[in-house]
Amino acid sequence: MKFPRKSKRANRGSIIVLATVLALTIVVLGGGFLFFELFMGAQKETKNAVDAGVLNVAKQVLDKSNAQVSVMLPGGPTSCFWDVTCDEPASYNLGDGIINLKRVNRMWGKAMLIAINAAAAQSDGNAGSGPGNAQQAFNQAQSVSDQLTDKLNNQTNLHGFFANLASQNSVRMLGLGAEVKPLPGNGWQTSLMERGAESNITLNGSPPSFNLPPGYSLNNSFVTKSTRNPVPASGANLWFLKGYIPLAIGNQTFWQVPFKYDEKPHHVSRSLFDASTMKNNPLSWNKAVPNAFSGEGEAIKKSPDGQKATSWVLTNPRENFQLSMPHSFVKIHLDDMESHWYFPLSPTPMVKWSTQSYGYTPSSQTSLMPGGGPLSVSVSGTFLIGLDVVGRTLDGVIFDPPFSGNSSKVEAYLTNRCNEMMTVPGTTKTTAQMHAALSDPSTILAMVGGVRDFYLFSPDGMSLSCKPQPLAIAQSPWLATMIGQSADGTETKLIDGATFPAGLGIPPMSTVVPDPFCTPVPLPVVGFWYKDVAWTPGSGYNGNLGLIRVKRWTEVQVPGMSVFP
Amino acid sequence: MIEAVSAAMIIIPVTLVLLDLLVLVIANSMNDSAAKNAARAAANQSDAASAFNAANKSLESFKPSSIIPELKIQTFNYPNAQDIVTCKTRMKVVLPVPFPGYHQLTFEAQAAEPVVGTK
Repeated sequence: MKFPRKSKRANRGSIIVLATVLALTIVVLGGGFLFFELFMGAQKETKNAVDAGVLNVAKQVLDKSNAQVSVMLPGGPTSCFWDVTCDEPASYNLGDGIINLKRVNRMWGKAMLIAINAAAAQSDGNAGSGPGNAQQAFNQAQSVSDQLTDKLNNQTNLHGFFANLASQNSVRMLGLGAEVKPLPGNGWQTSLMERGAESNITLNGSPPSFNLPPGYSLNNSFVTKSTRNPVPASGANLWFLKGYIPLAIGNQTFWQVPFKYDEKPHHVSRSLFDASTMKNNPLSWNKAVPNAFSGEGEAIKKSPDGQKATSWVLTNPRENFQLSMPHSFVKIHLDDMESHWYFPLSPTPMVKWSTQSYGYTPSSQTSLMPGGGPLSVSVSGTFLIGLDVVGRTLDGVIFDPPFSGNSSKVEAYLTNRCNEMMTVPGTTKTTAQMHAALSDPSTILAMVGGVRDFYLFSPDGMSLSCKPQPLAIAQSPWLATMIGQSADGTETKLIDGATFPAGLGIPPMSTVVPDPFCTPVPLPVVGFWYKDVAWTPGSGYNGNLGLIRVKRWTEVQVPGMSVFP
Repeated sequence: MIEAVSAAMIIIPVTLVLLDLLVLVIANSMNDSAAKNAARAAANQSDAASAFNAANKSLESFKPSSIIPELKIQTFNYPNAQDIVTCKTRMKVVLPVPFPGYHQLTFEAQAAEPVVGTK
């Protein structure tokens, strides 16, 4: 059997056609796969660039040098929040007047502490103008916070941060010259995440007192330990104010922004981000300062068609501060001391005849009263005055005899105020440490030298110092502008007329000059030390956290008489 | 037979070229990812030394092969200002089907990330 030639040619032709179709198919499929890989690669590059850009937004909103996301405190250095406008907790920093996302919790915290001091003073009945000052601090904090929120919610303020970094990441799979730029629109949102988690403001000490003013308790629902899991060892013992929870003190509501302890800024999922936006989950803080940001970018070359990507981040300054008033002080004023001389005058038992002043070195004083005793020309006595204060430190002048049960209240107020000066997280001052600060030996010399006003302050947010005005200002120059401020409360005597026997005169007996024909009867000259300690609370609004006023005096009783022989 | 050989002479080179291109695209994508991961790992550190270590560690998961024998950090910059860390990686790619003069190619990719490891 023979096949025609035409048939053979047809078979060969079909192989060529098949091979051509196969080659074209391979080219098309391969090319398509190649294009797909390029597309996916470009999308990945775009996503990476947008991730980096939005993460940079989370970082830059914490930077004080970015004016578009910072607010300058009104009023300049006289603002009560000037001392919290620095990025380090140590209180020797002078501040720059800038409030940003990193510092906004410090500002709210200080306003809250002022309100707590005023509320505590109010319950003690000596608030004075403290509540009014607390209201002013609250108003200022709210105003600055609202301005900051407006800036952070304005996406045009964030585009630059995004572009700076996103443009540094290559999207070469879209072709040479392609770069990622911000894509304005709904992709730029803010969110209020981690509600109820800790802020970056720690509390001093432990619940329930947190070293706040004596008798004041902070609501349990305001505080939390770190909500991180696991909690970093360095933060395990710290207590924090809660973020995005209304912190009501009196009729004012304070706020904090949550920043989990030592957590780095990081990307979050869209679902978590969206679930916490103000729109989807409203907060009673009308102008809440956000802690999470989203951004959208587009990788374009020349044509308008390009890759788009969105990213979501949660920011965190990773810097903690203690609820405190960094630049604050307690003033201790010593009234001039006096000796009061009492003589018997028939028929009254004893009357105050003379007053003499004395200082912080012992001095022998004498007083004579003509006709100071029955049937006497005069009665006089001599007493060694000043032994109640000589050689004592300021602590001794305040707390040494005469004792009184209310000394513990003086200690409690002073210890509380010392703790309010501590800015470094985890720093707590005990009553013994407060006494140690007041026991500075240099105060002895200062008192002998005539100094009557002392200032208790913290030069660094961790330690305490007690100095006369010039030395205090030399050590902490920030005191210069506020040292003249008065405590805004009213005075309460905590120790009122405490007394302690001061011994006998020198000589022990009085000197009596009798009337004619009478015989003198000298009697023992006895002395008593007295002490008042008064406390005027300061809210801290003007830096003054309170005034301790100490009044000491000595009463000398010089009895004497004469009798007919 | 002649036609089949002719067809193969078209199909096989095309397929091999496509295979090489595919390897190049995938390798480039891998290099991009490596640069991104290295920069991201470095950005989480608080100082330059630990940042460089972290960047190198992020590349440890890479296992050299006959096609990609080497992947390493070419340049690394963690500035004193601690604002942006940049990392450039270099990847050597051996073409599965070598062409004259194009037996081995070198890819470089750079990624920049904001430093978030500092306070």
